Amino acid sequence: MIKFIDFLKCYKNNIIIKESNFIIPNSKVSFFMGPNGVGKTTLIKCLLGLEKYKGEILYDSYDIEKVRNKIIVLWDDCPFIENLSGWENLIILSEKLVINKEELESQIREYMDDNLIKRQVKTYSYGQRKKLALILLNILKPEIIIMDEISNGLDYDLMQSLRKDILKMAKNHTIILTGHQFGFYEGIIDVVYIIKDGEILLIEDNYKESTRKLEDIYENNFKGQT
Amino acid sequence: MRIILKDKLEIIASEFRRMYYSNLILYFLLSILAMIILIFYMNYKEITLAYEDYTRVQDLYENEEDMKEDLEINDYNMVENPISYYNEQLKTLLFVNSPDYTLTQIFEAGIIFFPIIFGIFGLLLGCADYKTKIIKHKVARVGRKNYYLSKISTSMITILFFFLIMIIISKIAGIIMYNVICNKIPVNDFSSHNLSLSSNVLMQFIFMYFISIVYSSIGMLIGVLTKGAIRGVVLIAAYAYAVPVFSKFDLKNSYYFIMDQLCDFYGVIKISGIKDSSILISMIIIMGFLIFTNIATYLVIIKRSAYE
Repeated sequence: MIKFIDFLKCYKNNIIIKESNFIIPNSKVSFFMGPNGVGKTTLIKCLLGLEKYKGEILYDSYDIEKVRNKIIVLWDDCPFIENLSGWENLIILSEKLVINKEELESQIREYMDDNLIKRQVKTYSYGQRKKLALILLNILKPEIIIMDEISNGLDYDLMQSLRKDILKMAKNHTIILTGHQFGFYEGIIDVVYIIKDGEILLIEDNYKESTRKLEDIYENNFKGQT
Repeated sequence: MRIILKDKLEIIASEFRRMYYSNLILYFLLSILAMIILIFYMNYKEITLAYEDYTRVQDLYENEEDMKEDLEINDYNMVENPISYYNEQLKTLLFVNSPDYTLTQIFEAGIIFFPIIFGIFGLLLGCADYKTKIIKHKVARVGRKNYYLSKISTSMITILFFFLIMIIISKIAGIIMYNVICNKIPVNDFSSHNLSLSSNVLMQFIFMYFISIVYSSIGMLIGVLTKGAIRGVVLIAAYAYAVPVFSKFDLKNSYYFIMDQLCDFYGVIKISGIKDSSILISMIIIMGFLIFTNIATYLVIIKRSAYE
């Protein structure tokens, strides 16, 4: 589990997230909800130790530096090396001393065909970039997956396939999601947090059993704020 | 411990693959090859011209005894006539083109080419991830400190690799060129000289490798600061070729001063305008630049948001 102990994030005198104590459970899908600019991406940066904060964030009692290689973030814009092919990007970012090409090819086949993977990433659509990021995720085999607005730009088929993947991965991965397309997240998330007025509030710890809709939770908490 | 080392090696392997697939390694090897070809060609041209001059003056002599007399150097080691001048020049240039001088010849050329080659190499290594925004993936995976260390280690290992390739190519090219010269000039007629290297080639190699890392570090700092290649290339080129030596505390002066002590510059590359200094002061200045640029690069990577 990821423990936030007396966690406080501020920029100079501006408090972004007030002192909070909460837990992100292992092997569950946790969803952070809130309007743009509320601090969701800042929270992710703090989780990764890329922003300074007060308090502690512990991964099963370990500091981020001890578990960093077990975490992957799939960013909204999915950055890759634009003038190289998808295949070359995967080889570079696979962080392996020796590349097992057969294994790599089998992981690629689930999402892309041979022609697409050999094309330069700059020719990829938004959705194709996300597919490439998902292949990278399968290669790196992380234990903790953070997806920042992952559903943006995906077509219907890819959304359905990603939902299935997330459900499958949730069995043995800790998954943290942020986003606004609530329809995509319904049915796959276990825990719901909202970031409201600088506070992180646990709204549902077993959302799959809940009768409430994400849209309703959002409406109730942020109506008129966006 | 083994796991930590494996992790570090994996990060460095990733950097190498990046350079390989981006053709960076190829482009820099081609630049080094072009430098070697240029220097060998210039020294070859110089010796053939000197030989032509020598034979032209030689033809003016009707009596061989007169020529022998003129070729004898006086007690003060002074060259007093054209035939003697060209004879000495040929001896020197033959030494320059001989296999003994091959690497020194390349290191001397490095005074012109290495700051720009390795400065741009460091620059591209430093700015590449900002340009593609892939830095936010990398720092999340390995942390900022390891990210910085991977860049520095990759730079040091790659430059060493470039040097090894440069030595191999130079040695082979040197032997070929010397054979070409032997076929064109009667080298045995000009073999008696008392020239030698001022310092051994290993010392020259160590210093040139070190200075290449310094320039690569300067390039890397410019790369992480500017986050782009064009401005950085202009800055490095301007510093390497347009900015004069200001004082003995200048990096360029320190570099030239030590090079002047280590190499002889018998060939086509000459240095001038060096302000008097000492090896200690020069080394302190060069070390100071290396430390400053590395600390500054580290601080920029640590402090600046990877999301900008």
